Amino acid sequence: MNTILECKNLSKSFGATKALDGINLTIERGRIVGLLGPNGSGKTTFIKICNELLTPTSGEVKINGFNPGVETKKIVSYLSEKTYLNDWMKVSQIIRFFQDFYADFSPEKAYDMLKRLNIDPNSRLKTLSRGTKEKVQLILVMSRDAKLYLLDEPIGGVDPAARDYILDTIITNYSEDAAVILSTHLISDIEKVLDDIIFLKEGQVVLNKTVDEIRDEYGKSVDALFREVFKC
Amino acid sequence: MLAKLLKYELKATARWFLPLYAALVIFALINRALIQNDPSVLAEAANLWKIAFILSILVYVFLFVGIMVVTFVVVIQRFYKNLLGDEGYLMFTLPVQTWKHIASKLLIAMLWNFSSAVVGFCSIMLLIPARELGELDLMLAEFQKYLGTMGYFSISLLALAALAAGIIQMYTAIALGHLFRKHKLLASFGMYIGLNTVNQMVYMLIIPPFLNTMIPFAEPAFFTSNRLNTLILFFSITLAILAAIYYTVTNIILKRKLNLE
Repeated sequence: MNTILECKNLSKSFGATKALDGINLTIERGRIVGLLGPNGSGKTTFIKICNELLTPTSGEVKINGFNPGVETKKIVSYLSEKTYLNDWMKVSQIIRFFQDFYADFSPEKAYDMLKRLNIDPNSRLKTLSRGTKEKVQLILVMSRDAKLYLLDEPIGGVDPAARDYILDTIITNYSEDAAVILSTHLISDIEKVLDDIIFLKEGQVVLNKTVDEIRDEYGKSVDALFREVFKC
Repeated sequence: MLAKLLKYELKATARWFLPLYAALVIFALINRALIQNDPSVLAEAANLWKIAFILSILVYVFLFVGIMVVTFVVVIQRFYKNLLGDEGYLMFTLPVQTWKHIASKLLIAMLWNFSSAVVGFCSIMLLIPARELGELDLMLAEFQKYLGTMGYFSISLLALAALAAGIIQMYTAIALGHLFRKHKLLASFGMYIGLNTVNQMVYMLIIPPFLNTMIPFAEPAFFTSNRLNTLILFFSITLAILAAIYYTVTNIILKRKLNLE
């Protein structure tokens, strides 16, 4: 049982538009997977279905053998592309909130990261800048000892200096029996940490290979290949 | 987990209500002090007193209406914003069953409705001069005459069931409205009116036959306290069943048809 996520024939339509069109995927533990594709290719839709925030039109996802639900939420740590922080808590209170609901959450890790990124635990969430809110969310997500991390655009809104620290955190924080799936279109920044690449185009998987395979077969970087595949 | 949800729901909402309650009670006390110290002798002091009295009564009424509005708005806003808005991304990825989310919202909403009513009532009591409190005793005696001691129980049950059904009906309307791809708020409003029609139909189908079987209309002593209480209890149960149905519908929608966009 080395598979952490498996999806079969997964499709999702919004009215007449197909956001996902028959996706078949298997993700193994211990891998860092880049889910890459242009805007509107279905990255966010896929991640939201895995979190039960969207219901698939057909097909199914299994995470650790379960359909998305309470059991999978215990082991999935999700970073959304939206800021979901409420406007009344302090940073320290939202840490307490995560500690209350997730058994695998480590407040020590969270406070450590806050310190590294110079965020005051006593500041109110609503007074934080957009970039700082994103950092806080990422800290909350990475302070869990989850089995699967689903990170939707984890570095999109933060500055390059913090970006390096965050990527570092992602690689060092996950254990061998966990997997990370991260979606982004900032490929060059993230290429060096990835093991596997999935290209999504108009809701379909057009490429699913390891980074080494891509370098061997195409003789070019993932970034260069991306620009070729998705040339406008 | 339900206890934890309740704790955070209470914290998230208390910051609205507690300051308003405190302000209402303070202004009730100010008004009470002004009423008791009516300076009818000195003309100059009387004018000043009038201005102070009018101002503080205005603030009191403003607060009173404000609490009613806030109670209503917070019920809707907590469900809509915290579960179906961006905050829903956090709430629905917690390892908690959907029905517990609905239960925590509902129970805390009922609590605030209840306490708003109690605080409002107490503040009015503060305003009424002690010598007129006898009126209240007369009202209670009248209540006893019609409904008996059993009446306290049946009326409380009716209030509870009506409160629960009223709040869940709003949740159901919002959840149904959320199934629409566009104009979700407008759709929710339409759904609420639709559900009201459903309620009316249920009452019309159930209440008259029940009355017919219970009371032979030819009988002279039409409304005995026993009969009134039975009628109130029957109506409470109808409301409770409606509430349970709405709760189930809301749960199914949020569980199987959730689409946060």
